[in-house]
Amino acid sequence: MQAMARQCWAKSLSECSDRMSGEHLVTKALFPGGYTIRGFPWCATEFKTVGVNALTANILCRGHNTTLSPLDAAAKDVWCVLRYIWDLNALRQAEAAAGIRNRRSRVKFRLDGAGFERWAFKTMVNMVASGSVTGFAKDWEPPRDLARYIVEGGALPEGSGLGLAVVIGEKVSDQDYISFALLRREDRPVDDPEAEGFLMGFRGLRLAGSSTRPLRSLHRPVNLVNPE
Amino acid sequence: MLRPQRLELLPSGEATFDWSGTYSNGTDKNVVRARKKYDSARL
Repeated sequence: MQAMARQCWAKSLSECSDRMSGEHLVTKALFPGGYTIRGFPWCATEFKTVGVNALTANILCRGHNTTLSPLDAAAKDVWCVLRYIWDLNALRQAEAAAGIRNRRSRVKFRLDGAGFERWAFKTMVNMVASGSVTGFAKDWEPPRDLARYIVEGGALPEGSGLGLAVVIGEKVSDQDYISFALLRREDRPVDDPEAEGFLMGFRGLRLAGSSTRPLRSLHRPVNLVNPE
Repeated sequence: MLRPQRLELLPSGEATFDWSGTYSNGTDKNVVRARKKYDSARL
């Protein structure tokens, strides 16, 4: 999808560079071989397989796009580590099944959680700014505080941010998979919506994000076995 | 704000998150190992 030209959604923060760039709505390094997707306006119900550069939109200038590239790296690291863990776990289970008894130690991974959190909100803004979510104006821009948080860092309101939606003891599967559902502010009229947060599947994880309200007030699953 | 700073695979096969701690600019050797194994695309 090459969306029609839009303005840089970070333009309220600092001066834009001369040229717009094709921002990948979902970090391309997560799916180097392309995507099989559905749910976008042009593939609402049917899966379509597209190349890695197909899911882009002109929603960031080149300068702001470059500024945000470390967030893509943070997400890629989380992606790789989750895959590494599951592959390592499968190997260990196979060894155990074969009667191989190797000494096993704890393996620790220190990740850029703050960068990963900002990446998740960047992805939310990309989805809305690109017109991939219905109901928003073509010239929609994220609230300035949210844009500043994504681009420059800092903090969201106390209690908000990125969290995991899990059940203690839950076993999750791992695959090259991302899902996204926008959460809209409830205090806005239907014809003037505002993005507040999201539910996102990220490999085997279910993530919940809120940019304004404490997470505990955002998501109260009815079905605790499947909180999504 | 919840920030998964550390992910830990236990010998039992369980993985745990530590929400505290600090991050030091991508130098964790196990993260680098995972990145090299699977990162075949430029960002």
